[in-house]
Amino acid sequence: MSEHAAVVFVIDDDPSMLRSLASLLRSVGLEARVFSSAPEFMRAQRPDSPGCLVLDVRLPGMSGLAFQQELAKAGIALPVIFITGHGDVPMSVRAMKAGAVEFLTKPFDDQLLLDAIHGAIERDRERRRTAAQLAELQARFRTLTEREREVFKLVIAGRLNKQIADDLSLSVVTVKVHRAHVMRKMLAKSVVDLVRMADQLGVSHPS
Amino acid sequence: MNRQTVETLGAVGMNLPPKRRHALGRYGLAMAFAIVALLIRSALPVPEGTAIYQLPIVAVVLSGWYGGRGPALVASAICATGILYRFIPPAHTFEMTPDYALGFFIFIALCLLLSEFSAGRRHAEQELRASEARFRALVQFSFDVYWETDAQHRFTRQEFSERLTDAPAPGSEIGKTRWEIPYVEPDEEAWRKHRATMDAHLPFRDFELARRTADGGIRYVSVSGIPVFDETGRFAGYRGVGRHITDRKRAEAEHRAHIWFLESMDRINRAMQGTNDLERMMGDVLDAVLEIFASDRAWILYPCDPNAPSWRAVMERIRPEFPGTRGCDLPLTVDFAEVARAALDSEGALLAGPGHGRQVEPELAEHFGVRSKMLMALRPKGDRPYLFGLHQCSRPRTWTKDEQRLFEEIGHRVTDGLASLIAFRSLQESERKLEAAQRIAHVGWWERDFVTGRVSLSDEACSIFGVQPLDLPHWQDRWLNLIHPEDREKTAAASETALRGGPRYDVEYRVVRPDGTVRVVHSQGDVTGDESGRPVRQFGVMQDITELRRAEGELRASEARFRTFVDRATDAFFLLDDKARVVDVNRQACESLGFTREELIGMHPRDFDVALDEASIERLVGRARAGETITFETRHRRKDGTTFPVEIRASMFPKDGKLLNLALVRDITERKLAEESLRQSEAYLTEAQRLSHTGSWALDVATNRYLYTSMEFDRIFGFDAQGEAPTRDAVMKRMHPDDRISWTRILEKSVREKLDTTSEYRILLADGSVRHIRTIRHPVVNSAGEVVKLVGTSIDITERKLAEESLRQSEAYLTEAQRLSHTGSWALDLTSNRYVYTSEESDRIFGFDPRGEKPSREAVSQRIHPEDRSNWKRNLEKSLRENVDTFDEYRIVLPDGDVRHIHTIRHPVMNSAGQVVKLVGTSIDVTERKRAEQERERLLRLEAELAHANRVNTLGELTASIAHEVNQPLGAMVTSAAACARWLTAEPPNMEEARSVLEHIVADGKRAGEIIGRVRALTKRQMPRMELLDVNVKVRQVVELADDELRSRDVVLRTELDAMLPGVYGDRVQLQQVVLNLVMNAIEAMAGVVGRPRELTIVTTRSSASEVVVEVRDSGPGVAQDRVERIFESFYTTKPEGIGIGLSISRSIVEAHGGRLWASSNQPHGAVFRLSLPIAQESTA
Repeated sequence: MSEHAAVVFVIDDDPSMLRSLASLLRSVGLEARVFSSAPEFMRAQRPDSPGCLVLDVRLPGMSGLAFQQELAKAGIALPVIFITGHGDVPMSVRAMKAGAVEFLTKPFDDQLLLDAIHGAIERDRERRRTAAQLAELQARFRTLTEREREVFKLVIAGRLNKQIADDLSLSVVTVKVHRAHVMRKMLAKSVVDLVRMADQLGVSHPS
Repeated sequence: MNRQTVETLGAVGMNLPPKRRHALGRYGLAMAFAIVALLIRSALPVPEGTAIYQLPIVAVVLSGWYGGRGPALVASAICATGILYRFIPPAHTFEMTPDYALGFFIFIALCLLLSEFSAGRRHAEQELRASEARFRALVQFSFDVYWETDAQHRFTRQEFSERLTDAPAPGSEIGKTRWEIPYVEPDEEAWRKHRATMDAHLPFRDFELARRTADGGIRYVSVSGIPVFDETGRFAGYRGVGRHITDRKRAEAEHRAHIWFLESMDRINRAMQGTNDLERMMGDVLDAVLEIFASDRAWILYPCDPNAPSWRAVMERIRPEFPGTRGCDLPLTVDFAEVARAALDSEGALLAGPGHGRQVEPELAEHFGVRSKMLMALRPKGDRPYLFGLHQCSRPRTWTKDEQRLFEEIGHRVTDGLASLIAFRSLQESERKLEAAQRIAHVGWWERDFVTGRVSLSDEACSIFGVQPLDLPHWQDRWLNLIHPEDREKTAAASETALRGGPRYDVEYRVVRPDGTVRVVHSQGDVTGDESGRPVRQFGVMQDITELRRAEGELRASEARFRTFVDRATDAFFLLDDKARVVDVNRQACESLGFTREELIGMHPRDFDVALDEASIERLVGRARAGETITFETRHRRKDGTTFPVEIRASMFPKDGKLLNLALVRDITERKLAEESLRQSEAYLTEAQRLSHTGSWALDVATNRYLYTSMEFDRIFGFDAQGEAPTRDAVMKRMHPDDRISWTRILEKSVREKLDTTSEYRILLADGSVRHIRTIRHPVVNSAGEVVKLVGTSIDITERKLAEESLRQSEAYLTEAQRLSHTGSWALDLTSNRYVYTSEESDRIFGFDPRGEKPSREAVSQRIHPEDRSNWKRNLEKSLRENVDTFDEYRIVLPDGDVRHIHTIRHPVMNSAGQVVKLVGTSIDVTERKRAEQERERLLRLEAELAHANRVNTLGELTASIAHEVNQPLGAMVTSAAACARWLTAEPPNMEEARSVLEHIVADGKRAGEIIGRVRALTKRQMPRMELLDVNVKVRQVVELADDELRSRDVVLRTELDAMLPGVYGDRVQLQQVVLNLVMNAIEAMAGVVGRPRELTIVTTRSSASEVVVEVRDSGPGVAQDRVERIFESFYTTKPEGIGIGLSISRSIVEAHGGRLWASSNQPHGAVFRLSLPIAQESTA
């Protein structure tokens, strides 16, 4: 997983806020992309890099919270940090429950924001890493043939080769060959590795 | 004996040969002895016994001793007789007493015996004498000295040969040993050995010694000796001989020298004959010389000429320790020149060094380390003299005579060698030249040998015939076959007659070469015969004269052409004799003057020349006679009396000893006319130049002088038009010093690169004024392609420059103004769909590079926000189609993503045909204004809410609103401040960013202040600020503010604004607020409309003389009849989320302005809200 430079997306309808946030982010060496509305953000081309979203709760046309749901629906997994000119407890609670990383009221302490942003970026990096890993595993799994998958499932169930041979009506030798293929294709060093991979992939074993 | 007898005897004796004389002497003596003895005896008393015989015996002995046997016998006889007669008794008779007989016979016997002994002794004496004579002779002829030494080796005897000229004084060396005599040779060693030999009493041979002679020479002696032992065998000394071998030694030395000489010469000869290559020969010779003389350098310099500037060693051979000249030129210094001169003057070699008359030149000694040298001049025939020499550097050397002689001989031999090589080379050269000459002249030689029948051809002759030299063997048969058939007979006949002793063989014939080409050949030859006149050989040359014949033919043709040319020429030719009388004329001359040829011949120019007088004619003739080609103009008169101007060119030339004059007469009537019109043109041109301040000129590149300057040029530069042509320098002097260099550079570039160039520069006139000049130059080349002159024009562009300057200034102001106002101007050409002009500000606004290409319509269109593009396009095309001004407001997206709002006004430009060809316009970046307006709109909304709050006093909401509104700028300010802090603590601090951020903070702070101010203003219930307003403007502003909403709600806006609407008095903010409220309501009302377009129409009209009405129509659900008034009540709202203050406040505002606000239904759908306002009575713009 390569380390792309992180991007911070800022959506606020107040241009001076956008300006000052952009300046602040630049001053710490972060790349900032600013948008004055949610649709603008959705329309724009976003680079495939780790990042996070700094969002004003009150946006023209759509509330920030609604937008948060929209993001989820669109499958955009960027962590969200809310900033707002007026905040109240119920709103903040709702936002946090919906998975926001932080909820800050203007004027806010810049360090808090930056910390939140760094944390969010880290989370996003981690998420991407995991996602990439999973994608990798899935790719590997897809290279398995039908038979190999069957063997795979039985192996992680703890069945012995002989038993597997019985189950599938194959010779032991064939089972061994399939097993070896599975181990090789999945790049597993041991059966335990294989079990963990299966868990990650969500492959169930017949039982 | 009487005297006569003695004399006779004497005479007889004198005439006798010596031998006889000697014998006579002896016998005489003997007789004398005998007679004397007898006489003496008889004088004495008579003897007895043996006493008789005493004296006669003595006489016999003496006779025998001095005379030998004969005389002894004679003496004996005489004595016997005497004795017998006188002394033996009987006396005086020849009888003998028998007593005395015995004694007598004994006496006789004794006499005989003595005679015999004498004889023997005499014989022995004679033998001894002979032996001594032989011995002496031997010594004389075989040895130079005979010596004997005793047992101590001291000389006891030395016999020198008479030949010796420098023998030591006899006896001077007796008693000394050999080694006490001062010999200069041999050395100690040899002496030691010699003495050892002598001590060993051994014989020795050829022991060589040398001593100095009185005259300083050396005498060589070779001695040999054998030891002598006495009877007892004891060593008694040495005896031996010595030979002077000086001559032999000298001969040996000479012989050696001679051999050396011959060997050396042999080597030299071999070196010289070894090669034909001059260089190699000299090198080999010098190698040999170096070895022969064991010198350190041997060299040959050329040329040996005291007047030459330098000379060079054409060859040198050196010992590696003594480097030579290495082929460099040596300058001929005074010393060297002297040496060269001396060498040339001398016949033989010059020697220099210790022991010789000359010294080595100090330069030579210093640079080349020469201590001795020997040199001589070589004078080979055919070339300049060389100088040949040797150097000795390792030690000072005195050259011997032999060496000198050898050197000179070598020099002569080398000279011969050089001469022959030079001759050989010139011979080769001559042969080559002859060969080349033959080839160039196409001449070959041929030879026929009648004895052997052979024919020889030179290479050139072969090539003339077109045959290879190899083809020769069958030549005789071939030759006639190669000749052209028509010429064969003639050639063969000529050959025959020549052989028979007839005319010389000299014939021209054509040759048909094997490859078919035909050549014309001229062959001639001489026959040589033997004593009887029979031809033996014929030798000749042949030349290929094909070209010559061809040239002759062409010349003839050319002459014919020329004759035709002369006759048909358009100029008249007159040929005059030296008295200026016409000798011949061409056809044109006759035609132009109207006379016939016969009439013209014999005429004098004065017969038809009307302009020149006699004296002028004579003068002209005089000049022509002096060899000048004269050209002059005059007038001629025709036979019919008419005259015409002519130009005459004449020259004299000698022919057959006489001087003839050839004159070309040209009718220049037309030319004169042309000249006149040219003069006129020039006058016009000069006038034109004067009017346009343009001067023309031509500059000669070589002399840097102006060949021509027009009057205007002179005037511009302040030159005197009548004066001398100015120089380039004179022009440069008038130039401003700062411009001179570049002017010169560009002018020279024109010359060098043959390019047209222009220059602009200032000149300073005498009155102090400065003029700007623009010069255009064009180079003129001659036939060789070199630039000979520059021609050009110089224009006084001072006025233009000033105009340009002020224009530039204006443009600068304009650009600045545009920049300040964010206004850009542009012109779009519709044929090319490209912007032919965009001001700087325009480029900046649209994000184009001002230095780059002007953008196309497409490029600009791309910048426009996609949502606004169709609108923009529509309006643009409307301008094109309907020839109306249009305006547009749209957003553009710059390349860096920034969004700007642009307000554009377009004006179409027509061509003469009435078609729209260009659009010109201005585009203003109204982003800031838009933002400000959006801000204002928000503020207005806020105000609206606040107005509401004012009534309701919902403090919480108010506070919340205010708080929220103020929080925006505050939050931004805090963040900005944090950012600024970070920028300043960055490493290094980023001042630019910090500064920018601080500006934002200020702006935001101001904004916050404004909000608070407004809020406060509102809460204070301020009176409306009344001013003169344009309602249309307010409507448009509102439309702008609502733009976003309109768009996002998909509302179509139509405006019908009365352009002649009068102004009203009102508070601009409040009125705007009202209209905005109406518009926003309308939009919201149509929010739920589906199935039909959402149309919002705003109309402004003047409803009466005193009122202006604004109508806002929507196509929403409309207002029910019974609600029409209720909606204006406070808190009444049909909007689910609305607050409902808008309309009531709006109404109170309008009523405060003296107007009314009411609503009604719109047809077919929606509502109409109308507001009226009183017209401003005093309308001053």
